[in-house]
Parts: sequence; structure tokens; C-alpha cells
Amino acid sequence: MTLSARDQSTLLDVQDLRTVFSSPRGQVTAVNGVSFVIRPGETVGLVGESGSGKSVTALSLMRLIPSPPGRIEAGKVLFRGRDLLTLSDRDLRRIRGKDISMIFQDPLTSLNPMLRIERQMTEALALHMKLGKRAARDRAIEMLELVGIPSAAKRLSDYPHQFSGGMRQRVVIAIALSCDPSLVLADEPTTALDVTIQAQILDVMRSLTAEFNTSVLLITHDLGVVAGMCERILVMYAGSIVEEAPRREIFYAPRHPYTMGLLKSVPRLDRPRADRLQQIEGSPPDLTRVPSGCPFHPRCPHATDLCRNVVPPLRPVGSNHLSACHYDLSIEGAA
Amino acid sequence: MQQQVANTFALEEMARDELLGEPEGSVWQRVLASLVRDKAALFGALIVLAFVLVAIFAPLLAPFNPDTEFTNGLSVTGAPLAPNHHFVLGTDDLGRDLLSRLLYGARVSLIVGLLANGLAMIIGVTVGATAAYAGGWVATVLMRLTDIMMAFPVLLFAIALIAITSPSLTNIIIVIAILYWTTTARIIYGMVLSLKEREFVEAAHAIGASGFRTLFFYILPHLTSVIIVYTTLGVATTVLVEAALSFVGIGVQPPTPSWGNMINEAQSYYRADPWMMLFPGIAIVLTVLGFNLLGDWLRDTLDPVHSQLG
Repeated sequence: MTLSARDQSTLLDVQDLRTVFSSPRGQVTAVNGVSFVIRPGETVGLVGESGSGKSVTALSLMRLIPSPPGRIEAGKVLFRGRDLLTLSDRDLRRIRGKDISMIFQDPLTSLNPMLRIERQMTEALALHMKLGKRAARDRAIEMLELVGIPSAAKRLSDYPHQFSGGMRQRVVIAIALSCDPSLVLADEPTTALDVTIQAQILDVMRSLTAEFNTSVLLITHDLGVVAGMCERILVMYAGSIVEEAPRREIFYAPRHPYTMGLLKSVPRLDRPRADRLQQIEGSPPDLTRVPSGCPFHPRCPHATDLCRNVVPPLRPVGSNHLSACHYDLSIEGAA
Repeated sequence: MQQQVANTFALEEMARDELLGEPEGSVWQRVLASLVRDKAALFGALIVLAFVLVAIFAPLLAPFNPDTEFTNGLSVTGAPLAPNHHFVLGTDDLGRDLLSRLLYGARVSLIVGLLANGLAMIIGVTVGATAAYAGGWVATVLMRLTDIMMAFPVLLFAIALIAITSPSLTNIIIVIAILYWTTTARIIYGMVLSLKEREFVEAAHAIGASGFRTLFFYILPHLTSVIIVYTTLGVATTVLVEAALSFVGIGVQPPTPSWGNMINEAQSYYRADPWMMLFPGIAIVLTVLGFNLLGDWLRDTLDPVHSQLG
């Protein structure tokens, strides 16, 4: 149970989501009982290593998991009170792109290389807003201008390969926001871009989602990105959320040893240079054989017998702060 | 205000885009320019153009009625005439003008080439794309059916089919289409199989597009170049198959001229009057060559990502 699951102002309420993939080597539990809420206008960060289940979580919310081999085994995804997981395909298609839209990692692959930008932009508008050709085109131009693409009207007739990487991602953002969604799932929206472009894209996203009061689930492995964007942060490890807290607390008072480890492994400019960057020993678990007890215990410096045998529940450790650790660990110099 | 900030950020990238440079002129202008540069393709295109024009304007171009048996079209011994100033390409065994028959023969080849191929493409693309996109048992059934069709000996199958029905132009077109959709189906199957895993398909689902919509509007455009290329190359094959069927006597029936039945009729005279066989033979070779050259060039040119034409 998350902190404010019963909050009236909840936009998205994910309860105990479980997604599994069958592979030749056995069943992979990519998302293992994940629960969280997103409130209107809020930007929530979902961070974790590669393979921790971040992207699968986002795809599961929209029921975009390729099936087979994937399957959403359990849970509820309540969007404005309706469970997306039990909705008919027809009703779900009405929500996809309209109320909830997605921004993918690589704009080169998520834009269709054979179609002009205009086609790709007006598609969702025609589908959901029932706009005519003319009106859809005007709206597309307006959106391109909002995301900062110069001579938007002219560029509508270009193909994706005629744009640079950053421009392409602006187009993707424009498409995602064009139907005025209440929630945007952004799956590593800046990972494929270089650092300066990254900052610009994040600026565009931040200002536009603030302007339209859009909620964002920002998925990333980059702590720098969430630090600048998100009010609340979820930390994911091996398919489970191990810590949830407001941004300041995650960065200055983390309670889960995995979060602490993550923070210590980020190079910092504002402190004296250490001899070596610290790392988290070992590597993320093979999801076909998740360790017994706490999934993090093989890599945790504080692991005890309790950790090896009992799965720690996600429990409150402060106001608005949840951590899935048996122990009340101190800040331990992580800040 | 918001817009200004975003625009300032964008300036740097705009400069970058400008540096990359947009090619001059429209897509078609560039296609044309590339065609002129490639001499072999240009040669092929000209042959194809000539072939199409001849087929359309045969009644205007032909000096005589192709079916008229001229009394002055045979020698005193009743043999066909060699090319001369009156009958430019000579006459056949019934005293008909060979040039006129050759020009009218192009009509049959063009009609069969376009319709049989078009039909084969429609069947092939539908089967291949449906199988790949649906997957599961649908794919198994459709693709095994394709395998079975491919296993038939083509000419034997065609002869059997036409023997059951009757040798008419419509039946020839249907038979050729039934025989030649399989290759297309396999190629399209493979392409859609890989295309449907691409992220833009997922993105299409994410904006709420249905399965059919995704297949038709997002995946099909990727297949157009392949379809155009294989249709062009297919015309060459189809012209040959029609000639072969007509040659063995189950194709286009005399007196309607087709290049295949002209060669068939020339069989008994090829020692004494080789031109009767030579000219339709040259027509077939040139047409097939033209379509092949054009098809090869189209294959190299039509991929917008690799050729950067678009």
C-alpha cells in the first residue's frame, strides 16, 4: 500500500503490478509487485539499473508488453479509477495517446522513417481529437513551435532522418503532448542524446508539462536527470520498488542501502575528489533466479541472516518516505 | 515567452541541421537525375517506355491489320516472305505482316504482365503481411500453403489448370497470378516479421492505433519500394511465362498475335525463314532485359533511408 493510494487527487494508482516473461531459461519476473501513485501535475522519477524492470513497468501500464512471451500476471492499474488492465482493447486504444502518451528512448527508432512528420503528428490528432486535416495540421504546427522547432510549417513535410537527434526528440515530445494527455510516460527520453541537448530537451519537457499540468512518469538510470525534474522518486531494483521518497530525501537522506550505493557511485563536483569512485559490488541479479529474502542482500554491505531469508516489505520510515529494508540504516555519509 | 526560450535553445540545433544540408529539388527531380546518371537503367527505362507506348498505340503504329492474310504476302511457292520494302519484317506462313503482329503482340504481353503481376502482388502482400502480423496458427497455415504452392512444377501446373478451364487471356492471367504470388508472400512475410518488432510500431500502438491501422498505415509504406521492385522484375518473368504458355499452345490462341504463339508458329519454318522466330525472340529478350534493368535500378534507388533521396 502506497502512501496516498486513497487520496482523492490520485491520477494513476498502480497496485501490486506483476509482469512475467517466459524465456527458454525459465520464468523472468520483470516486475514483481510494484505499487505507486501519481497525482495530477506531478513528475515522478523511476530510477534503477538496466534490467531492473523500469521500462517493463511503463509498458505494462499501457498494456504494451509483447505477448507472448510477456504476461501481466497480477495487479491493478487504476487510471482515474478505471482499471486499464481489464479494459477492452477498444476502450484502451481511446486512452492510449489521448489520456496517456509515451515518449520513447530513441527518437530515430520510435519515429517511422518512411512517413513525413506531418503524417505522424496528425495521426493521433485525427484519431483522438477528431480534428479535420486543416485543424490537425494547425495544431501540429503549434505543437512543433511549442517544443522549439524553427520554421515548423516547413519542417512538417520533412522525414525523420532530416532532423538531428535533439530535434527528433522534440518532435516525439510534440506528438506525445499534442492530444493534451494527463499523463506522459517518458522512457529514458534523453538517454540517446548528448549532454547539452539533454539539458535542452529536459527544459522543454519541464516547462511544457508544467504549463499543461501534465503528470509525468520519468524513467531513467540517470540520477542527474531525476534530480532536476522530479518531485518524488521511486527507486527500483530487481523488479521491485525498494525506496520511495521526495527528491530531497532521496538525495540527502536515503534509507535503503541500494539507494545509498547508487548515490555514492555518482561523481560529484561539489566535494573533494575521492581517490576512487565507489561502486556497488557485484551485479544485478539474474531475474530467472532472484535471490531469497531481500533481492539486494548479496550486494549489500549490511546483509544479515534476516535479509537472506525474509523479503523486506516496503514500509514507512518517515513522512512520505518508504523503504524496503529490514533495518533503519542511518544516512551513513551518503549526502 | 515559453516559445522564445525554446526557440533560443533550438538555434544551435537548427544550425546543425542546416550544416547537414537538405538536398535540392523535389524527390522526383532527384529520381530523374539519378536515372539519367545510370546509363543501364536509362536504357532499361527507355525500352520499357517504348514497349508500353507500342502496346498502347499498336493500331496507329502497325502498317497493316495483323490478321489480314495477304495474297501478295507469300512467295509463288507459298513460302513466307523475307523482310522487304513492303513487309518490313517479312511475313509469316499465312502471309500476315510480321511487324504488325509483333506490335499487336506487345499488347498481350503488357496486359498479362501488368494484370497477372498486379494480382500476384495483391495476393502475395496480403498473405505475407497477414501471416507475419497475425502470427500463430494463421502464419502456419498461410506460410505452409505458400510452401505447397512453391513445390508445384510451374509449367505442368499451368498446363493442367488451363486444360481444366480453357485457354483464354483471363485464365492465363489468373493462372500466372496463382503461380507467382508465393515469392512475394515470402519476402513480405520476412519484412513484416522484422518491421513489426521496430519501436515505431510500438509507438503507433502507444498513440492508440489498432492492429489493422498499424499494419496498413505504418508498416505498409515500408513495403512499397519492395513491391514496386518485385512488380517490375515480375513483369519480365510474366512476359516469359506467357510466351512459354503460348509457345506450347495453351496460351493466347491464334489468330490473336502474341510473341509466344508467333514463335510457336515459326517452329516449322525456322531453317528456311529464321526471321519469323528471330523478331518475336528479340522482342521478348529486349522487354525482359528492359524490365530487369529498370527493376535493379529501382531496387537501388527506392530505399529512402539508404539512398537519401527522400
